[in-house]
Amino acid sequence: MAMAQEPDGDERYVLKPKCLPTYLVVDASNSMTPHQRVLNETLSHVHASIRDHPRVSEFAHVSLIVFSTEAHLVIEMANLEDVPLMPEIRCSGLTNYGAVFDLLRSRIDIDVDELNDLGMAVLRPVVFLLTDGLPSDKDWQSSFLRLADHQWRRHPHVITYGFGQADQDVLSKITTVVGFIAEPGTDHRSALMEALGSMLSSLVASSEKGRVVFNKSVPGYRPVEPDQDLLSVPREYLE
Amino acid sequence: MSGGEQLIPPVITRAKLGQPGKTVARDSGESVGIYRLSGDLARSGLLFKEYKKTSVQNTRAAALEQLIAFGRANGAAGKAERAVLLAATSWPVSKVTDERGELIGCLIPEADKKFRSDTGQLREIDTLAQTDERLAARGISVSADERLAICRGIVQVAAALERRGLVYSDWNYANALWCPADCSVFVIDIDGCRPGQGPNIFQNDWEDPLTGDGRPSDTYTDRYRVALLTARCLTGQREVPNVLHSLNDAADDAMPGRATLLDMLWAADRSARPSSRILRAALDGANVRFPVQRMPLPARVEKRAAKPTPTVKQTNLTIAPKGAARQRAAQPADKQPAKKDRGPLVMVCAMVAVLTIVLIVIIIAATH
Repeated sequence: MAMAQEPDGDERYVLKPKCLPTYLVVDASNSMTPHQRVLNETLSHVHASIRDHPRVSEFAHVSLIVFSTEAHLVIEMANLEDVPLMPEIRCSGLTNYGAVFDLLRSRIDIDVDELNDLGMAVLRPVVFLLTDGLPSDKDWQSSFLRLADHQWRRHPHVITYGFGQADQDVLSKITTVVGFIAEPGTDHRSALMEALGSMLSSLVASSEKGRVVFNKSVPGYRPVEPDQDLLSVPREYLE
Repeated sequence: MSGGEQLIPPVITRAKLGQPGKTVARDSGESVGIYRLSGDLARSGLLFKEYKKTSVQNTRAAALEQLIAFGRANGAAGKAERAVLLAATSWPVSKVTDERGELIGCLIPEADKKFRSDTGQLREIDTLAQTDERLAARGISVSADERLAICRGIVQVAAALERRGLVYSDWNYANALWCPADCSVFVIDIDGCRPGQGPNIFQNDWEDPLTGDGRPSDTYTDRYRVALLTARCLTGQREVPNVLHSLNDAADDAMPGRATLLDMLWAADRSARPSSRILRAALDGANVRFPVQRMPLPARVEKRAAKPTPTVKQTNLTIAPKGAARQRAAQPADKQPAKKDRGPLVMVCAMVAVLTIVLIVIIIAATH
């Protein structure tokens, strides 16, 4: 999928509005239960912030997916101005990555088609994944490789935020741009808020530039480089 | 300038500012951060804007000094423009330097609290540039006359800058604030103004089609952008083709200035774009239009209707919000079961096996 560009020649001034399909993927497994309230409060804040800035909500259409033992599409891809309220997340279950990667793969095809039908110039999708633990399932890597497969023209950018029991080595295998792992000793409440704040600031900056802009640092986190084969952007882009 | 600001010199070192107060913004545009002042300076109502390092620092320092000097002047020259700019913008008050005298930032006035919403957020013009229907969905009602009054305020600032030969370049959704109570505006990031021309930083949805890549922004770029901002606020449309068609379709008496806006946005020759001063007069209803050849209008951006309301789905991990328009149980395609999650099945099989063995043992025991 080519990056959206302005047409040339006589169609020069026929400008399709650019759109960044954005997937917010949240770990809602049992280990997140102590942080459930902060998670919901912060998600509400993110939702309100995006809605308060039409230039962000019209550029970054958002879909919310939560996962634990299963993966659930909670909010279909939408301009968040059209979503009055966020649902409340209840944490329970295991941490199965494979299911969420498979769901993302299927949803991206559906959503990109729909955004194209709406007359948007659709950019490469971006996934922000938040997790506090290790995967419970065994075969998640093959699911992620299918999602990140460069032969699939709609393969997304994946940025991950890990705290709590999250493992750096695992994060490097589920990110295609940059991952962030909380520094030892960072309290989980701060880690959660900084992660979602980072996602929000990335979307605001992206809406101003008309292309995806990645944060290169997050307070309380250190960056995790993706495995070389997974990179979805040129390495120079990150320097 | 307020009394508090007059006590602060036009150049002040970072050390004299003391510890920064609350952070108002972080990593925003060309600034590392914007902070309230603390201690004795807290009452000044000023903010410290700390710049990112830039290769054009010398040019910026000189331009900033000129802005500060103009704001502090008392002479008759530029008096009218000064009054507008000091009242309605974050006009820089002082240059902030390090101990060697190198520019590191500036002091700017903070926007009045009337430009904040009930949640404390700055009320950006972004929220005005929407249709009446969108505004109503958020509980906001703005009449056509109110939209016009707000736009007059924006253009008045643009005209004052243009009259001073200053290029702003940063007209966009985020850099103007508005107050619904009195229809006033406040333009921020004014410290980046340059005389004559300035850097043309790419802004999504604000690109001047007649200013090529790599060309600096100038008065004509500013005319395009302020016209686009004004037109978006007046029409509530945001996509450029639809803005143009809304202007074209409107009646003159229903939308004063619409013809001048079309000239500024769609003149075939960028140097023929009417000035902001003429736009200001046109918004007042003055018939001041000079003939301008326009380019043919582009096709409207036709979008198929989106789904009536995005679905917020009820799942076993979520509680739907109260008042959600529509909820439905997750469909099979929307839920991916975990692979190899066979724990319960294995347990049942094990229990059956154990019971079978127990039964066999009982039978054997009974027959012996």
